[in-house]
Amino acid sequence: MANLNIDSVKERTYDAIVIGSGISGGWSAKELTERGLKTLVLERGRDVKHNVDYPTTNMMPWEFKHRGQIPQEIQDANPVVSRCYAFREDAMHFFVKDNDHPYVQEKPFDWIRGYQVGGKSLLWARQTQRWSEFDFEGPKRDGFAVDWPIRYKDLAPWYSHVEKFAGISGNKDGIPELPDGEFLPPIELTCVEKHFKEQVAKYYQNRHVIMARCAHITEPQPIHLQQGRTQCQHRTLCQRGCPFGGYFSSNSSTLPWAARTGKMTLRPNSVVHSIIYDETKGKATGVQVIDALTKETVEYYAPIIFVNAAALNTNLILLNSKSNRFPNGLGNDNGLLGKYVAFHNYRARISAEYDGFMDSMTKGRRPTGGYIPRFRNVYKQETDFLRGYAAGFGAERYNEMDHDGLGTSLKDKLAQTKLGPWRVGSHMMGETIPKETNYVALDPTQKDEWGMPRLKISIDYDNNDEKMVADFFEQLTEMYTKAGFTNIQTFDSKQAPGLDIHEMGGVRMGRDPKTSLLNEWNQLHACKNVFVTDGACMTSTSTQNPSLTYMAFSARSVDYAVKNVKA
Amino acid sequence: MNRRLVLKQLAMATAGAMLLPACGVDPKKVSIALNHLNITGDEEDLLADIADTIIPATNTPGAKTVGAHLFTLVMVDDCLSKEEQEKYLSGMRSFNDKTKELYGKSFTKASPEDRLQQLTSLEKDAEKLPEDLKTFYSRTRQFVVQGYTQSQHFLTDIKPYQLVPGPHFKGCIPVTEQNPA
Repeated sequence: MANLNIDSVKERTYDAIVIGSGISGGWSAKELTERGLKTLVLERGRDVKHNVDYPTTNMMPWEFKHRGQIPQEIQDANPVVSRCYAFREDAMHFFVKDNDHPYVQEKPFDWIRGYQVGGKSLLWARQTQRWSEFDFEGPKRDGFAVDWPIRYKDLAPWYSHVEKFAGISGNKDGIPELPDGEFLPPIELTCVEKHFKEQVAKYYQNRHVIMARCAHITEPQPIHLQQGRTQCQHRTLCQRGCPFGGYFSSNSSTLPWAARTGKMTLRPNSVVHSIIYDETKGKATGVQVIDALTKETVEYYAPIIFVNAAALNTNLILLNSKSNRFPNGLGNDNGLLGKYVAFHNYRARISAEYDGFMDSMTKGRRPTGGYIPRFRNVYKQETDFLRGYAAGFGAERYNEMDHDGLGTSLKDKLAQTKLGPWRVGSHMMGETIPKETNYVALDPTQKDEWGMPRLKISIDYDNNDEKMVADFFEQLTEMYTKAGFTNIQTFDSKQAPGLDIHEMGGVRMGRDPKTSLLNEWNQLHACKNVFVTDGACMTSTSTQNPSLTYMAFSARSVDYAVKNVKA
Repeated sequence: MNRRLVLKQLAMATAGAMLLPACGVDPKKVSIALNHLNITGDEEDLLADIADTIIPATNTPGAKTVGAHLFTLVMVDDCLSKEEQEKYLSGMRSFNDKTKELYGKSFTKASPEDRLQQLTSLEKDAEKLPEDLKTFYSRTRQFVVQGYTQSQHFLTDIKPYQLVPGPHFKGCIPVTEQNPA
């Protein structure tokens, strides 16, 4: 019996454990297995195999019973996820339904989740802008949060490392506040986007309009073909899962790569209850898992643990990892675990029309768009609010359908679509300031179906965010006007935090264990063999879509862990 | 035929009749499975007639042929709120009476030319119509057009949809290079 037990423990022991298989967990798994470590990847949701489990990927529009729309009953039962733009008939199976995984909203927070192998990497918007020195020095210069323990130069080689493998398209724009990377050929700007770029350059210093850098393979390199991926075919149906592997996801890229080393064990349906801390050894020894289907508890062991459960769930797992040494959650000596959570402010949009270039049009579909890097308060403080915003930008011209008339005249009109005006749009991506009062915590009484405490979320906008929205409207209106755009309309959605799906922080990095949870290598200050490299580690949010930075952190930390953490 | 069998059949016929909508003996049933709505075959026919008036068959199929009236039923059944569904049904059930009152002949009994005339007038007078009729007509029109333009026929023969368009996005080309529709 005793021997059996020892064997069983041996079978459940690995060189490393990765909690989560989304965009950062996939990278941790790839980097660990490539270095020869026998790695267990735990995913709380079901398995989703590349191509095999993309049920809608090749469906024609008319094959969807409601042509994409979500039926009223499902919307009524799932008000939170129904507010997400990508929660449509073709991808609803990749989203968590409200009632399946309830949480407590002390303040309104739309928590959008993807519980499956690959996580939200199947669903993301694929925008991959690097951070710059201006972003990492932000908290120190402007006196909020704590100083980042790293600078751009520390992450730059790792940005290059992940960009080459993931496949990032873009221009080398030479803009210090949005550093260039390892780019595949860019996708084109439209006539009116180029016009706006020129006008903005003419009227403003240090304001730029560029093609967004995005994780689409525009010219496959050997490294992409080796992954079984090929050129993006501009289907713009990414959220269904891409049969070409045209955009980067864990499912199409890092996970199959890790599997091919023979070193990865992927265990879906594994809800991580907590990380096991051994007081005599002074480190974490493994994780306790609840099987999502049988609800049985199993323990797995490893000398290195990567927590990549997605920002808020990483907070939840650490908060729930209680021991005598850490009664308030693993590594939480200073009581700051779960605090200083921030996000991106996506409330503001501005649209317009342009009546130039009427002899020109676009052709085909495009899986991305233009981008305006942050121009406010970059080189010095110049407004009455801190930090600034980046913006998505697009100007396109569509064949529009005229629905007027009846009978044969209507039928003829529907068949003879005609080109509409150039339609211009931009949305704000505002940096929010992490605050102690924006936090997540364990609900003291309510638990979920697996016995895990429900997460209580208390996150809100502040006055800085309101001023930023007003400034975005003012500045973009001025820029639009100078470019000759007409019919300018501003729109504040007032959406709750969370719908940006860029929640970050709670386990922030910093130099001082008294004021931060993680060090410069994403190690818990107080438990050095546990690494957090997903959104939870973020000290500040800057304005860039954060996934690329999580990928770079994961690769960098694995490299450090393998060299420095002894078994 | 023995007496027992006759009685059994009679009982089944009666039970069947009890399940029918209140408007009387109507053996015709809706041709598709619906989740919420109780629709008769005659009502389905009315929708088909309206669909074919909005987008008639010419040398190409019309809205009825491509099933846009059935798509309309599916959307009303699954994608409208309960309140709006009720308004829609009540508008639908008053449609023939109301058109008779307004135009002298019920929509169902009117000729194809008169039907087109009736709908044209309805759209012109939309503001004066009762709320439920307005809901019925505007939703029907919306879903018929959607069902037609997103049908396999339309997206194959009229405006072919490309599932895999290929990496050929052009950001700026002369309008003259546009393929004829």
